[in-house]
Amino acid sequence: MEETTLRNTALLCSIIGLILLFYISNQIQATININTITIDDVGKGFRVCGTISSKRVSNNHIFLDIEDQTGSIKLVIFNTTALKLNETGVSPYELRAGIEICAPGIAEEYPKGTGELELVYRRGDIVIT
Amino acid sequence: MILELLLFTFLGIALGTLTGLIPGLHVNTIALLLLGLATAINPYCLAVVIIAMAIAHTIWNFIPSILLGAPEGDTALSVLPGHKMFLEGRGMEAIYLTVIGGVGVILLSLVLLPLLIQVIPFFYQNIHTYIHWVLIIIALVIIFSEPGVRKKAYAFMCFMLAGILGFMVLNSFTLPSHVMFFPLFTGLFGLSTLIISLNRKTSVPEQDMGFPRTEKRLVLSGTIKALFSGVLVGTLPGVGASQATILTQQITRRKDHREFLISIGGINTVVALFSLISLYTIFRPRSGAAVAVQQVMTSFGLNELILLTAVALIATGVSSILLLKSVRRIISMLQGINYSKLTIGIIIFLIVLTYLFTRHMGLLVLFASTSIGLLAPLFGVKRSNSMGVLMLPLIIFYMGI
Repeated sequence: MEETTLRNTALLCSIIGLILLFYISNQIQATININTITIDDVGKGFRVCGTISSKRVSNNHIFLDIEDQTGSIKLVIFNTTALKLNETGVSPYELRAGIEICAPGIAEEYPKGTGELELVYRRGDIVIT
Repeated sequence: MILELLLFTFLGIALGTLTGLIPGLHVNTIALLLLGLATAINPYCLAVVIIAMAIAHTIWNFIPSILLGAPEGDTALSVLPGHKMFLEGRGMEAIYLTVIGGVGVILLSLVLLPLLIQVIPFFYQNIHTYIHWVLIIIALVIIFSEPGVRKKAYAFMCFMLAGILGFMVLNSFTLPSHVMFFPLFTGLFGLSTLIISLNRKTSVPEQDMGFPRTEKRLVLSGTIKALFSGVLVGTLPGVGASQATILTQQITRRKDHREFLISIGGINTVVALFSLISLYTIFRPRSGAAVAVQQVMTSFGLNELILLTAVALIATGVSSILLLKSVRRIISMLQGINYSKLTIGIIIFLIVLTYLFTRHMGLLVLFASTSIGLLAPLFGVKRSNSMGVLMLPLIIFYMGI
């Protein structure tokens, strides 16, 4: 093996890594700490992991308060999407206070203009950890 | 997300270059500091920076171990043939060979990744209860590879003395064990090598600045050995890169320094990757960096494994290219320097670093490990017998004594 061959092989190694990174970055949704979600993130998708501190169900809409070591946020699962939960292998009944979960959601400000944030579940796996 | 990941990959490469070039500055130390930022940084980005740093470190840390004779645990055995080649004017070749190993084995691992995901759990389930026997066999193979009864006895003595020192140091609670590795390995393999070479050479010999052509057979066999060793390290708790290298070398009975450097260059890099595969398949991290990743990420699935494999590939490729670009300049700087003065300077530097990292206790360990490290070359037995420093404590631990 010559120097140029080694250099080209190292370059190939980097390029394969870049392609893989590009592919996988579209597959993963960043798990983030709750306190890092700000008003500027409204409309962006996140994944948070934490403990369900309370659960409320109203008109089949599910409202979960999720706490991690940095803060807490409300995860809203509307009744239309709650039906889809079963497809991901998690029953809405399994989601109860004290359970640790990882869940994806879109950041929304609600009520508008108050600066209060919540995550709205649209799709993706909710994992009980 | 992709830009963030790339940015943190390059940050990790920069940190790994720094830890690799500075003897005694270990990846685990920086990883611990980075864990302190866990609440402020996206966990994926934090994991990416840790793995990029760990991989870049394995490429760069052959510079101090080969050119200065200042090793860490994983590169300890590379000092011996590597520094010897440097003193023969072949320092460039020695570095080049370790880079071949690093790049070759990471590409081979990528191709074999689906197979490795199946093999590692199978290997682990069938062997993990016999680890102490595996380690005892490795130790016996090392000792009995010496010719003649007298040399076997000397080898046994070096192994036991290093082992007793290792047991005492790693079981004391004065400082964390990963911090104490520095004075232990610097004494056993670094300072003792430098003290002996101080008596032999008066100047750094003129270095051959070309990269020699390396036979494909050598590249292939060195890379395959590194991969095999990687499976051992990734599977067996307590088996590090150096022990795996010794076992692999003894099994194949090849004494080619060039093949050895390709193997050890590959092993160090692949161990960092395989510890992630172990984390994914058997839920056990096998390196400090993998432990840090486990602490950062709430779940570690196939997507996370692919992400960090991609980062490992980029870090290996970029670090190798940068190293190949800069190694001539680094060696040119060392050329023409009075070797005795340089060696004395490095010895003082290592003693100061030991004091800074580990204080008085570290200096005491450094003195003891240097004394034991001098025994092997003075008795004319292989320095790898001093790897008893890690192997004996592990045998005792896994035997449950």
